[in-house]
Amino acid sequence: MSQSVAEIGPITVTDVSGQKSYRVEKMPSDATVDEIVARLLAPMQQPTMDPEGRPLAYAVRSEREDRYLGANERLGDALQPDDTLRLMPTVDAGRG
Amino acid sequence: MTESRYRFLAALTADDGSPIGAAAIAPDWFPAEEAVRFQALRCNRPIGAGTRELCEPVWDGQAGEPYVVSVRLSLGDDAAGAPAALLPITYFAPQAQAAAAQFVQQGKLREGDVFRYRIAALPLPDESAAIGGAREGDWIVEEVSPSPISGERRIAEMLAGSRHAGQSDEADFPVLLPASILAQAEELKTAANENETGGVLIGHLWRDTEGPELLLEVTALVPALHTIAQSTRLTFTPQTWDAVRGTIALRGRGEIMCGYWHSHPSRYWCKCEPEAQKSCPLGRQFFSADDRAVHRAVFSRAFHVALVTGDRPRQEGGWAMEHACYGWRCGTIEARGYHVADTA
Repeated sequence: MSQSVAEIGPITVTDVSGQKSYRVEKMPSDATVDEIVARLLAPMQQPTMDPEGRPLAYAVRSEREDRYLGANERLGDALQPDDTLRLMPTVDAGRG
Repeated sequence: MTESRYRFLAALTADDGSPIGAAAIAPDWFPAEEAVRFQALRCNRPIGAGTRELCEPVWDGQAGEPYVVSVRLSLGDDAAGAPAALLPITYFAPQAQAAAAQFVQQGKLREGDVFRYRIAALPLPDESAAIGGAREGDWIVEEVSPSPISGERRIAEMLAGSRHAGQSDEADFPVLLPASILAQAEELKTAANENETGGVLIGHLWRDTEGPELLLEVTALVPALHTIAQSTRLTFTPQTWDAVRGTIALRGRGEIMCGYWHSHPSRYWCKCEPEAQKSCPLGRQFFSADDRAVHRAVFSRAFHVALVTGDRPRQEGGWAMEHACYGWRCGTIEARGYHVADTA
């Protein structure tokens, strides 16, 4: 017997500045925060690697809860419809 | 997102012309798409929902197909005068670099070897267009970005009395910043001594009351908090961006993040003898691969700019501080000019 997974959404996901903003629907509630980052970087056209080919780290901030979400938190536990999440990368400027 | 009937390859040759190999590349079309869309914004030309960018190779007349001299990206409405951008070969430099790294791993190229590259475009075999970016299964992802324009101002009036600095290119839209920001940048750089330091530029994108042109007004430099600073590296953390957003909210002026600033403390990097300092390459302004990566990750809108305060050797000895501004032009990051307004 199959059991359907509940869906979460719609939510809004933005970049740091809020100037790239995406409405996301139909995410499975059992997906993790890490998974949402991995799934959304491509359609948001955000880089995934630094110049040395290392993965770029993105923290995810919930505007409603005013906190960073843990990588393993389930969307069904962490999100409510119409939430806004902000993807915040750690990036290096410099001589390299 | 970009629609292409071609796949692209980087063909690498050694400095002596001998072939190294060709590798498939996946161009990052976003900056080019941004260039075209910003061109439409500057003309006040509406873009229909779901409009895609089309990319077409411009063949190399000498080498012939499949080699290209540039790639033309246009908005997919095919109307006469539709915004378009001609992407230079240098647009594909990061992908060529990645291809070179593959050849280094395969032992076909040595680390540090000089190589040349050409870009080739091959028709997709099934004649179906490739859409850039990934599909998201059952998820629905739709862009709902807000307009970046704060309102209307008389640009001529705003620029009156300002002085132009940096390299000018008539294709660039005007950027205006107060002299106080340059002074603040110099103070922050001096206080950081041998370490890099930085901040975020905030301001407004205005539409001219007299026409469609846009102007970026930088109103403040917010010093970056929660960074990790070293002599040759400055790490911006999620907490850095949070603090800037908090500052913008506290100011309550509807400003947006419009770029970033950081320092290059070259006088501490340079280990030359005093006479050789005058021609030290570290004394020239530059925007490094890391700097470009920050710009691409956080400041990827076509109107975003970057300000760098570095050191320039003086002919009479010692060092002077120097500012350089960078911005997007046809999808690549180039040095650009800016206007400085004297502040009371």
